[in-house]
Amino acid sequence: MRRIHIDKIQDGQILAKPVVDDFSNVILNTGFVLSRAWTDRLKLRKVEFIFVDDEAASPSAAPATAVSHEEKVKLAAEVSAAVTQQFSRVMNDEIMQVLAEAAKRYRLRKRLSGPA
Amino acid sequence: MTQQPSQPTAPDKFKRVVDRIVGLPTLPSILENMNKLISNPRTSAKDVGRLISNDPTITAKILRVVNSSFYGFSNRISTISHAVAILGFNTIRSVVLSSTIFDTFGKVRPALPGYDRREFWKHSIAVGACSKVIAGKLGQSAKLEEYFISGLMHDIGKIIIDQYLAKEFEQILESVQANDCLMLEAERQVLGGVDHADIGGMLMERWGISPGLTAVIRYHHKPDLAGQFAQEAAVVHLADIVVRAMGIGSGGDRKIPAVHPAAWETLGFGMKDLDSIIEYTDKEMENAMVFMEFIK
Repeated sequence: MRRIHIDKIQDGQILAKPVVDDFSNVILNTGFVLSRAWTDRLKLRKVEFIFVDDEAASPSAAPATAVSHEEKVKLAAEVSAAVTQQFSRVMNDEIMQVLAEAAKRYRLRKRLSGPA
Repeated sequence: MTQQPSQPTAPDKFKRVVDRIVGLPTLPSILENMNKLISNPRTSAKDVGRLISNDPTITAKILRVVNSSFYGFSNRISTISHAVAILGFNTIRSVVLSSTIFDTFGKVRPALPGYDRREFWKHSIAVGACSKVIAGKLGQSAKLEEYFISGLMHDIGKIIIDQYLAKEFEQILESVQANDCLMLEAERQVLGGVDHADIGGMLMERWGISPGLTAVIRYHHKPDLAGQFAQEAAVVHLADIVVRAMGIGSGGDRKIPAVHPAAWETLGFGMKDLDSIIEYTDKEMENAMVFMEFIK
């Protein structure tokens, strides 16, 4: 665990201590996976420093570009298999076919950017 | 000749199941009193604030939610009266309803094989978030909170089966595992044609919850039967399926049902809308996760 400035947060880092506001309300709890959107919100709340967990770094702490082509192909195959299995009874339905493809895109994006 | 016993009719079967649910919680008194207060046109925000403030647990939950990113107010709301004045009676009633639901049913017991109760709540919250997104696309901006609550509570019948028909619930989970079927199908098989939507609708009726919310809960798998609440039921029906597709939480099964053609027609969406519903649900879910704090 280490204390870092809000500007040094990377996507996917995990909060090691709750972030509280001036009224002791918990804004974010321990274990929260940080993202740029949340960093911006914390800045608006005048939060300057937070504690992050180094050892339990989320996979998304690594930039998305670090995922190799082979890894992406493997992930895409896993996501596709899971969605195909889930939709196996409804794939003759046109709406569900479109939804299955949208679900594959969404799930792959989530897998590439961090834990679902 | 021996006379054969007559086969029980569907209402008989339903009554038999319901009769076995002993000790079903009554409507939390705060909701009952609030409904009475709100129906009086002379009621003020202070009156409602005073009623809610009598319950410190609900008060703390409401203040937590209204000060979270779910509502996104820039200034802190420190009193219930202030919250009522800003959010309005109907929204505050929705917030009180959700808080009491978590208070009454949000105690998470250890996971059963194939069923994680935290994942159940995550699914429910996500369906609330997605219902809100879909309602927004339909231009229902004045009723977004009601849609959120409808989505949040759509599977409340599963909690009733889980907590009050524990043996049958285990049989249902076993059937889901063995047959890789929908939970709904396993429930009907084990409970003699009755499912969680019927049971959830029954609870809402007993509690005197609004006919709209009751209809959504009862018909979220049969949106074509929701009558004047067809749109509301269609929204939650689609949200349930979209959230399953997104893989957020779990309703207890691994399969997905098809979108009912009548619901799709009611909503009037095109295929391209599915991507944006998914995208906005993902964003809305970040805000709605504040409700996971209420799961004990």
